[in-house]
Amino acid sequence: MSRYMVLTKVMLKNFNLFDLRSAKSGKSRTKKILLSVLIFVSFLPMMFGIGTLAFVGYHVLSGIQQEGLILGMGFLVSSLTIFFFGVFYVISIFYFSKDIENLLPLPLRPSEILAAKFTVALFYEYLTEFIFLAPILIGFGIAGKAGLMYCIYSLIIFLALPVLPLIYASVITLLIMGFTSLAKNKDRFRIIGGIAAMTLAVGLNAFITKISSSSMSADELQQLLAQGNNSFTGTISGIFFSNRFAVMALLHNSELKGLVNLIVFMLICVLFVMLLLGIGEGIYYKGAVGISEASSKRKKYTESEFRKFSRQKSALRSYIIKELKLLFRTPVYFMNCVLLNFLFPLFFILPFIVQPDEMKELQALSPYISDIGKQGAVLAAAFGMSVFVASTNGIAASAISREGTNIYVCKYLPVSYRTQILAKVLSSACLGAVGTLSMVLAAVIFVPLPVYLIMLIAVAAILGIIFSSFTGIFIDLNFPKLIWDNEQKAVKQNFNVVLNMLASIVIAGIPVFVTIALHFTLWITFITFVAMFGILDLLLYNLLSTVGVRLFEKIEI
Amino acid sequence: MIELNNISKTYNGTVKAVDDLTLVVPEGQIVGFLGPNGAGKTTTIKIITGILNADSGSAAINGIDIKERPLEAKSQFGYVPDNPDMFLRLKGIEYLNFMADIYKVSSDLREERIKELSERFEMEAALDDQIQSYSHGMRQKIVLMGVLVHAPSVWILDEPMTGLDPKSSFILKEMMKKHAEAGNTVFFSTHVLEVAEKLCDKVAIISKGKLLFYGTMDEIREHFRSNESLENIFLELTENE
Repeated sequence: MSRYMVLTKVMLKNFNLFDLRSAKSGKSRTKKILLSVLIFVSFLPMMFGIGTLAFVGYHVLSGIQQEGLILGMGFLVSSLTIFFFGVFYVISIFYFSKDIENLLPLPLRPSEILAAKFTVALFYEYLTEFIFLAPILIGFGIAGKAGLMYCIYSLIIFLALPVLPLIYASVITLLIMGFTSLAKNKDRFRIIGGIAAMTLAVGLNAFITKISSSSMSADELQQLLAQGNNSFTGTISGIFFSNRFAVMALLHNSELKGLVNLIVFMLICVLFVMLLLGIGEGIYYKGAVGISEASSKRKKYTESEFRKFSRQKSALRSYIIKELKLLFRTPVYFMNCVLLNFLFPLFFILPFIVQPDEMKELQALSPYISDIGKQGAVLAAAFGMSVFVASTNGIAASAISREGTNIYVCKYLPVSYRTQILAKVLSSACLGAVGTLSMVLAAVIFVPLPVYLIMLIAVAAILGIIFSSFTGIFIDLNFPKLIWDNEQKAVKQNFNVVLNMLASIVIAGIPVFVTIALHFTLWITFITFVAMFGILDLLLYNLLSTVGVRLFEKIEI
Repeated sequence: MIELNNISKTYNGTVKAVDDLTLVVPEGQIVGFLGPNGAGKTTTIKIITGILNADSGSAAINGIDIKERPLEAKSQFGYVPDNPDMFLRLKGIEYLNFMADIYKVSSDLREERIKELSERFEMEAALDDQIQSYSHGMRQKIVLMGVLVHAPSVWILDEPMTGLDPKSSFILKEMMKKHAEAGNTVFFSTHVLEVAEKLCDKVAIISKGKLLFYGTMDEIREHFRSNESLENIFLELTENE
């Protein structure tokens, strides 16, 4: 137990989201603190919105005595989110963290390392939970005029809720990593393994929800709803079955029934932790030992192969290719930054494939799109989506951070900082364009888009993508997160990415909203976007060539 | 030629890593840079290469100031850092070509050089593998090859022998000698005093950021009026600090 505590303590030392400790001077520390405050403040409206929703929902649903549904839904959505992030966290913290090679030679049991790493992942999940679940608990509590017991129960449930979804994520990952360790090309297998884990997870949940909902007829459902007494809450937990006990505990917090439910909830958590440690003891090392091994083929080149490789390229082009290669080959970067661009349209298509009825509805949109008067809105929407995808992939906003302690290499190469910044921006724009392209292709499957519209979307989207890449790298130049022990920290646990998402969504969102609301025609919409983002891009380019270069110069490690 | 004029660098406003250091590494010579751990060797090298900014003083390579004309200055030297763990997910061949592109080496020239270097360092069969599959010594070799592929006149090497097998270490030393004999500059830091003693035309000894001694091996012996090994002189010199 004590070894677990020591390990956890050491690992949590690296848990500094804003990288405050690496800030050398007081000035950069102030900058980082301000940034943290800014990010927190920018989440406030959303948290307030969620809280209000819970508050209003309570009053609506308490009329039919189904207010527990709010908690049930809140727990379910939180559990799903935690689970989804969990897969990423687990892969990177359990396996790709640099400390694993230092821990393996120590006389520790696999379950001790696993327990400590699980705790670290849990802490990350608390952050996610804080934004999604805390407002619901607070809103619900205020609406129900909750007392002290509610507060205590909420706190306990808040702390214990992520355990089950995180254990699901851990077990799936442990199993898959255990098998992929047999593979030769580990990087590639891990990428496939990660995708498999996520697909399996989402599929499993969809499957179970479907079973539990289809087993009930509409009549039964109505009956259940009419019963009142929060009869409905039990049916929506899906694979996170222990959530219903948490809901019950909160609803009956002043009765013995509540306490019993809380105890059951906690017992399930403990049981699953034991289960995880048991499984981990057996298979954790299978995946973790030799995690940094890489395959080699030991193959000699022929004359013609040499010739092919030796073709001279410009420094800029070579630099862009290097950036892209690292993004595609590093599993964590691939999953976080690259895959999204291809997957995003899939999220969009999937519901229509699963439910063919909705496909018809979508196809009913065709005449709408061929109506030139409405095409302005289509262009605006496509533009907004493109910027959204480009900012979510986080390539530009983590471009400097991803260099990590090797940032010094950028310093001694005889390539100007301007060129290096440009190469990073272009590699980001490249993949952003892929996102737009796959989105347009996905749309074309369902709704025939006229060619000229596609062209206009392409031009406007490119300007928007470049804009978001410029703002991203500018933020990252200001607050590079260079000290990290696993790559995940450079891309996912990097608030620069979140900040750029927020900035891009707000700045690109306003014109999208305005053009749609004011029913701009296609051409006016197009001209608005091109003019606005053309000018913004030029201004940002200038800013990066002057201030950006100076910031790059100043980065020292 | 490398010129350092009154270089100072302080970390966190308290620790003086380099303290008013002046040093000229002339052409045609191998100069070894010695000092205990934390003496300021790597910091000095990082200032020369433009990785760190000095608080005061100036550094120039072949007469070109690193701060005033950074790109030109950086094109003059090749640098082997003390830690070769970089670009791990590039293949060896991709790394070498990346470096060649950055330093604008023509297609024909690089092809010839890569072939020759990989043969010399016995890396032909490793070029198609990612650098992360390499051992420490092989990584050291590929970084070294990345320098040699653009044939700079000034070599700046931070602990270049660490991790190299005896043969590669021997080849590197021979190459350093040849490079200096051809009128070029070689500046390297090391902990291995025997290497410094045998290889260097001159040694610079630094401790706590200050230059304690700079001269040839003969001068050092004359200075300390002893026939002692460099090891003993070094220990005495850095002990009394």
